[in-house]
Amino acid sequence: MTIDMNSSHTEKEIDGALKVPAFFFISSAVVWLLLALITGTISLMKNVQPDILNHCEYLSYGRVFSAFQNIFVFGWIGNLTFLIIPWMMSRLSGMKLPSWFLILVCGKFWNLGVSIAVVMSFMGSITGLGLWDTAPIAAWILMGSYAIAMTWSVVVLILRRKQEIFISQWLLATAVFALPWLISIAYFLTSGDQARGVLPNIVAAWYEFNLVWLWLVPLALGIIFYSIPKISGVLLKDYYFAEIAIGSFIFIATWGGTQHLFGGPYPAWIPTVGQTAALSLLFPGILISSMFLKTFFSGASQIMSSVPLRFISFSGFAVIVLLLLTFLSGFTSVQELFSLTYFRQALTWHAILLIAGMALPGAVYIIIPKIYQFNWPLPFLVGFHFLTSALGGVLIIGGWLLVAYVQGVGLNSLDVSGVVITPASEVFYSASKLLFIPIIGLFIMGIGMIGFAFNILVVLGRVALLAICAGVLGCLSTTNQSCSIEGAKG
Amino acid sequence: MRKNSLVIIAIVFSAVTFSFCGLLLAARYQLNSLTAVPMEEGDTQYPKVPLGYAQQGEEHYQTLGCVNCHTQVVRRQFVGADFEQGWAISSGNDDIQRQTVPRDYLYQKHSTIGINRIGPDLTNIGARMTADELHRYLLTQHDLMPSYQYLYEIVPAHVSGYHVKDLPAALEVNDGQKVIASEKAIQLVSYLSSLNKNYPLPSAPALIELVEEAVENEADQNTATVEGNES
Repeated sequence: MTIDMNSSHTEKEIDGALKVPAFFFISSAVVWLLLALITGTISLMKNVQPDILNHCEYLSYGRVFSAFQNIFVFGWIGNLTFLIIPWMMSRLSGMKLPSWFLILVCGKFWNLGVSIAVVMSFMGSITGLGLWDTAPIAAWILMGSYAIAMTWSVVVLILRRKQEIFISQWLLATAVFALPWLISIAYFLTSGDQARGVLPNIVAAWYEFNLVWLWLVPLALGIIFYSIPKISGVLLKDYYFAEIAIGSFIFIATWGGTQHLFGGPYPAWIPTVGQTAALSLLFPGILISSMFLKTFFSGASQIMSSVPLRFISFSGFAVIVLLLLTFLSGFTSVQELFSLTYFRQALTWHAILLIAGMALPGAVYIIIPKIYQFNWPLPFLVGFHFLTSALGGVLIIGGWLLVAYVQGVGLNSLDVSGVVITPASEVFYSASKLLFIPIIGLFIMGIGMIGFAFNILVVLGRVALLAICAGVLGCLSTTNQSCSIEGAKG
Repeated sequence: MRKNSLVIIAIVFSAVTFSFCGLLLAARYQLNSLTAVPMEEGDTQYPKVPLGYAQQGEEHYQTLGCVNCHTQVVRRQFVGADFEQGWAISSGNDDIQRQTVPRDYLYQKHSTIGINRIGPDLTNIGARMTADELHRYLLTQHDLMPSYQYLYEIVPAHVSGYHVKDLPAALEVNDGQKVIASEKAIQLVSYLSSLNKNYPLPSAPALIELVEEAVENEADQNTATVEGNES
């Protein structure tokens, strides 16, 4: 295999190099998405009706929610990253992927890892440590397959045909390196004899925060800063801030996560480091927010006229909201009330549902038509998907934040004589009544996702049919040619 | 220009390595040096290693997902209202109410601290409920807590096993039958019954000692003020 270094590859060549892996990854992602809807519905229903499907321990809330997390984060979002990162890196570098075989094989191992993680969740291999809830053997498979698959993206970056490195390439490179590193560290420190006491909680808090801020958010920002100028023609504003913003963002974010451990049985410096990082994220946050907001409002009508860009722009606003919430989480007064509530889960899933969960489908709506030269069979479903995902996601996260408020204020409010105002049992009862809001949100989001799945499956069906016909016609023409030659000989 | 891509790689790698060493490895070094200790020389060392059914019950606590809804942490006083909610009260020695500290979790095979209080804290649940009460609680659904009836079975009265008595009306069985707990339920309840921080630790003296110390300090300050005014 030789790599021609003379000139940039055309967009058609770059897109064509990803036809086969794109088919696999997008179809896998859709399957995982539908499974996520099922497991997510069951787990959220159990928040309101705990005895639903409660006849065996395999379907207990902890196991189903763990499976849902693994399916949504690593199955749905993970498969999309296998498509989006190589495509964007190739486009930005002007160089097509040298070979799709490696990435496809790694993708199959990735899906194997996700499957094992899900099965192990149902078998009881759960941690209760937030997002670090993946069985060890599955974690190794995920880490290895992702690291090897993304090697080509790094090669494309290093051997790029274009001189400049764009901000999106910085961000994608961050996402490429972050995930395998995070999984390996989390596994190393939460296994064996050293994984005792409170250390796993510290590692899990760090892992969850960094999975959000070094994998999901850079991925979304990379999509935002590539797609907006590319599709709408609106140029990025304050681009000169990009390097200092991203560099400081990466350095600060890696120290966060432990602010959620405030008040717990940990050495005092550990939550303090997390609080400092959360508060310090304000600096790069302001720069990144400024870049996005100035860009968006300089061409809002052009940007919003494209439905995929609506997804991606929404994700940008969600990043700003998460920055604000994370900044708030650095305050002692906030942690006094909201640690050990739905607050931490709401922040994490804000990134999963409203940031990555909007940016990645938006990117898919751009990439798939370019790769396969098809328009969406039912275009109105694209806009419907946007509305339902936005509304549903806001209801889910908003519902959890509301429950966190009820938990925090209810469990920690004292009267003047130092007696709790509301007994804990009443607080838990009140909170339980509000947990129907995320269910409604998931239902709304699910309808849009089913529409997305329908559009994807129709496109992939056409692609498969064309491929089969091309194969059959190819065989026929070869056969005819052979007959003609034999006839001529005869 | 080729070097710039390596700069990005170097920045990301150094950022995560820096935090790994400075935050996680440092925490590991500090926490893994902890051991069981006595309050005074010659006293019993705490915490104790959980044994037998309690140890097996901890496994079930984890695999059944109890940690997703319950915490086992009493935050220090004036952070939240864990003390006022009564979650710090242990039994055996009524004077001991205290926060939990890293040493309390030394011998836990799985992390049971938890991250979300959908139900009450269980740090001292063994002090609040007896084994029979815990079995009855697991049999019925309460607010957001599901029932765990699959851990129990209805058998003829002559069959041996842990008999769960005084069932709520909705779970009454026919004459000649009884409800017995499975081995898993017995182990789980044994673990829950062992959750009782009725021992002080050097880093977490009992609340009564802290209150006495605060009262003494305040008395000393008042005395100093009075003497200052008189002079």
